[in-house]
Amino acid sequence: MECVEDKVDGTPAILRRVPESALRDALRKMILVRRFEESAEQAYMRGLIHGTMHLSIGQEASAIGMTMLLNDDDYITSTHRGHGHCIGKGADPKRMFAEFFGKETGYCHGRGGSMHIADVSRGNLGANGIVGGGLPIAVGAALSIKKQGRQSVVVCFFGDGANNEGAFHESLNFAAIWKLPVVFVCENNRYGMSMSVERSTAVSHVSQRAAAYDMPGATIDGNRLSDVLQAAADAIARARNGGGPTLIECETYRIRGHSKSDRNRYRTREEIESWGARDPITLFEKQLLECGFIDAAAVQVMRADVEDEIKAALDFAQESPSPEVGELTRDVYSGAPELTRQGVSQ
Amino acid sequence: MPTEVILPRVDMDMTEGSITAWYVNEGDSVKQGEPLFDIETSKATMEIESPASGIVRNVTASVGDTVPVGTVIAWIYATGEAVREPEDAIEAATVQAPEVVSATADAPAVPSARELATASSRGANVGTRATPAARHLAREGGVALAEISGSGPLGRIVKNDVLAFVQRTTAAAGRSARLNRIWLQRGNAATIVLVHGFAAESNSWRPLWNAMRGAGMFADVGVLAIDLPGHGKSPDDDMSSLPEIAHAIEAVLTDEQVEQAHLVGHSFGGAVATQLAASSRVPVRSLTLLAPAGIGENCNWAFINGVTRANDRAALKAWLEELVQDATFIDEAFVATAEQQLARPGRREALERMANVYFRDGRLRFDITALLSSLYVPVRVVWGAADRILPIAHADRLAGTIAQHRLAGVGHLPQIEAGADVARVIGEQLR
Amino acid sequence: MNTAMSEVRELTYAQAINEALAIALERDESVFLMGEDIGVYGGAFQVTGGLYERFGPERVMDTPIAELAGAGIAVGAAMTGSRPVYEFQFSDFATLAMEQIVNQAAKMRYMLGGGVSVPVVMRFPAGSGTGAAAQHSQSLEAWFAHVPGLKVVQPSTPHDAKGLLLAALDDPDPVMIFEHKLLYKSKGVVPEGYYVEPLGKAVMRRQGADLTIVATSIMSVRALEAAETLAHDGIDAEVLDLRSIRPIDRQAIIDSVQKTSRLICVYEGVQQLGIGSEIAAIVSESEAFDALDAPIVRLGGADCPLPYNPQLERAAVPQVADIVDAARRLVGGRI
Repeated sequence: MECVEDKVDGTPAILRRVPESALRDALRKMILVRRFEESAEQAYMRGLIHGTMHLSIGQEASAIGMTMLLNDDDYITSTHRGHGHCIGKGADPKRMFAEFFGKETGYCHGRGGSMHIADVSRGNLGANGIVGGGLPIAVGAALSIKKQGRQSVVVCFFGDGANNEGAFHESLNFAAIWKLPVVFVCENNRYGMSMSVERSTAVSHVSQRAAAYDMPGATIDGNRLSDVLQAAADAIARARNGGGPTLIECETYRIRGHSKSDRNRYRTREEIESWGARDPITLFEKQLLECGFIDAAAVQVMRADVEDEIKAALDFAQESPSPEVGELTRDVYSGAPELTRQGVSQ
Repeated sequence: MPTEVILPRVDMDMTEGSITAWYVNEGDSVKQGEPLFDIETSKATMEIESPASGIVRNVTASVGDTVPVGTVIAWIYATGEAVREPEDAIEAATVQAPEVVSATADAPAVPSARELATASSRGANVGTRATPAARHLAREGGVALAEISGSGPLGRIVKNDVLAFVQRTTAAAGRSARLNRIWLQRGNAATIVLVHGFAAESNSWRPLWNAMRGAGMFADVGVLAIDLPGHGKSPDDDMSSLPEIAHAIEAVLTDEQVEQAHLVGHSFGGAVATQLAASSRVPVRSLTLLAPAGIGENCNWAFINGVTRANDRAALKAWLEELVQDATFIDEAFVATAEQQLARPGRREALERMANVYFRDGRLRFDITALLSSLYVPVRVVWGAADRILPIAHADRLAGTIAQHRLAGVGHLPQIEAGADVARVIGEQLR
Repeated sequence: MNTAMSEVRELTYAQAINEALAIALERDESVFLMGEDIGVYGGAFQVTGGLYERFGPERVMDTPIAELAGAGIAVGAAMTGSRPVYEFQFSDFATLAMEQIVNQAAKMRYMLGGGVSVPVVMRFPAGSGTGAAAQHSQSLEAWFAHVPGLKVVQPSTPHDAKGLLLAALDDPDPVMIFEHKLLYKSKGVVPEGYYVEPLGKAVMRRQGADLTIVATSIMSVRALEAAETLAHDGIDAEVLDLRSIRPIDRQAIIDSVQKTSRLICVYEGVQQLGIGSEIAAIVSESEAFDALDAPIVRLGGADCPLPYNPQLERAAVPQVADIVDAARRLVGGRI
């Protein structure tokens, strides 16, 4: 299936089918993601954050476009680069920052960190630190949905690196044979860690692999929110109606390195700059302004509002308490008696 | 790590040597290179020098002893080093006695540090092997593991070994809770405990007790005389070691609720009293020894045999007169008491068995000098210069820190021949 | 264990598991089975025979040969309201699914701060003795018992196979059940109807005074046989069937060793770093240490891949004679 941008009055059709408020909300969310990532980066560089982080600056359209049509009964599984997906699924920046700072008020009570942000009660089955780790889980969630007779769907995010993992192939096959309501979204940002997708992957487009599993596949411009939204709408509708899985490849780019320890030796400044010129927020903002869905003043207000939200979130995180060391082994098991460090029941 | 002092090989085909002199005593300090002892070889007497500087402890061979080459006969501890049980030392040496070869007859042959280290790395110096259960049981029972031999692999002491030991000593103690005892006087704080000698019995203390009453120093104190096993009215239980007898006496003290004991022992009873002083759980405050056995090496074997086998009163009296310088002390009452004891069924045989264990052929089979040196209580020794049973020369071997009262014109029974003097010595121990 | 009044009847270990699965499928709509060849074929060891016919393809789901995603799907389904039972055809194939078992199932609850549980059950036919050789005969349960977040059980009787499985299906956390292949045909009394055997509790199979044998899985059965022989020698062996290796019933082990003062651990997994090492450490760290009257003995699998030749195969894991011999030497004070 090819993605055809059908325009009415020069506006992509999808933008007319979705309420304006939702579009403005999408822009705000993209800005929120961007500012969130940049602030996290600042905090990290100031030594406030333990470990590392994987920033998704430049990939906002893919994250927001694929999640804006979901509700709390739908699920997502995400990757180690999942801050955008989490915010798209409704995560609160306060609790995300708190988690980065390892605080008890974080989404994982400080036990998970950046790579494991989750909010299962609202359908976020979690960012995952294993490349390809979320695919089987997403298919499992889709299996539950089908068994429970629900109309929900699962949006399964993964990167171009994961598309060569055995889990990818096994999961797509399972989803296809059992016709499960899962939308596989490959955010192809052109690099695994340092290995380019050209060198790692036998096919030139990840979406070609859909054919191997007899499901629809599409490669789209992951930096254009309207394109992402169109593909999302189609795939989600198919899944909800029992049509089975879809594979969508969002071509995008990460402006920052793989993680904070990445020295960017594997790509050129020219490449980074040329993608920077296709900033998805700039593109979408421009589109909304042109279509008359928003004006410049409102955008400014929006940006200021996002700044306030980010600042409040950082303050919350900094003032939050750290976990008690005595609670080290809490929640290893459900409803089990408290275990000591050595796993001995007390 | 203490340094071993072994009996070195100084001749090519030497397999054992005898010690002819010691230059140090238990507890003395020596410097490396100073003379420790002499050994006699077929060629000459050799002076052996100390292999290290420190304090001499756990001396296990005496003058006159013949010992195999390589046997550890003493240890040199560095100042402040903890002393270990002698049995560990023996085990360490005998499991892997270092090969000692002397280049010349002059060079003292001492194991090198490397040889000692090799021995220890082979597990020889691991200390006492015992299972946790055995250790636990021993701790609870207040039993020293060193007293027990292990039946397990590598000589490991297992629970059953401890149980068997405890059973033996408890049986001994149990039997001896039946040891006969006489309270000559009940008292408040302390108790003088009188332990008689071979072939005697508790009533033999009465003359001394009279003298003590006369001295007027014993008003408040208890006086308890105990019959050894196989003596007096005690059962004829065979006890083949001093520790066993001491345990048995201790059981009587516990039974009688003695809180503090001043031990007084005569002859063989002196050895028992010394053993008891060294290991008792009932607090011992002083030790007074009257012509004690176990310091010298020989005793009057003829007397021992003669007394136990005497067939008639006249013969018995003659032997008993050997005990004293002045024969008038052996009156009819004395002889009658002795005769009565010997007349008990099985008594002669019990005494003979005991004599064979402890004094066979006139050699004392036990040595209390090491025990004496381990004591911290006041020790006084009283000896008659005319003792024909255990010669006063034995007392020459005593450490200088032990007070000696050498009584001229007194034989083997100072408590009878010089009762007032002995009473005074005992009285001084009470202070 | 509570049973309704029921007739005494014997089932095989495999039948007992089948019955448990049927009861669970009946009681709870969210329960379903996944595995290779479990449907019409009835399972490689015929454990699921008849269930497909009775409950249909939606409840008894044949999977392609894809253990990683298969196990991961079970994890994802368990996180979202289902209660799947995933059957590995051989325990050795767990290695293909380690990512989803160890990195995902075991850690989800903790990593996500307690906001989710993973009530998945995974079943593993394990162990040697069928000539299946190195890649189809392993006992890997110790690997899983090493992972916080998992629970690991090894039933040794048909009674326990049913009871532990039903308990596992009630458990909110991931439970790994290792079933020894040679036990599938073993018979035992199995009460009818629903009952559970608690996870984390060992069971005393035989009271004794002279030594404790702590055993798992088929070694429990062998230990009992050994105990019969030893009784003729006047050696009274106590046999403790551990049943659960995560969590371990420490107190049962400690109490038993305090009583007998001697311990042999018997297990099929490779001896080095196997469950016996943990049992020995538990005793050594406990008040039972002071009761030990001999070193602790471990009898485990040999330090080689399981061989094909039948004599070698037998020699590679503890047999009844090995247990008897070790017990005689231990009680005889030769260890």
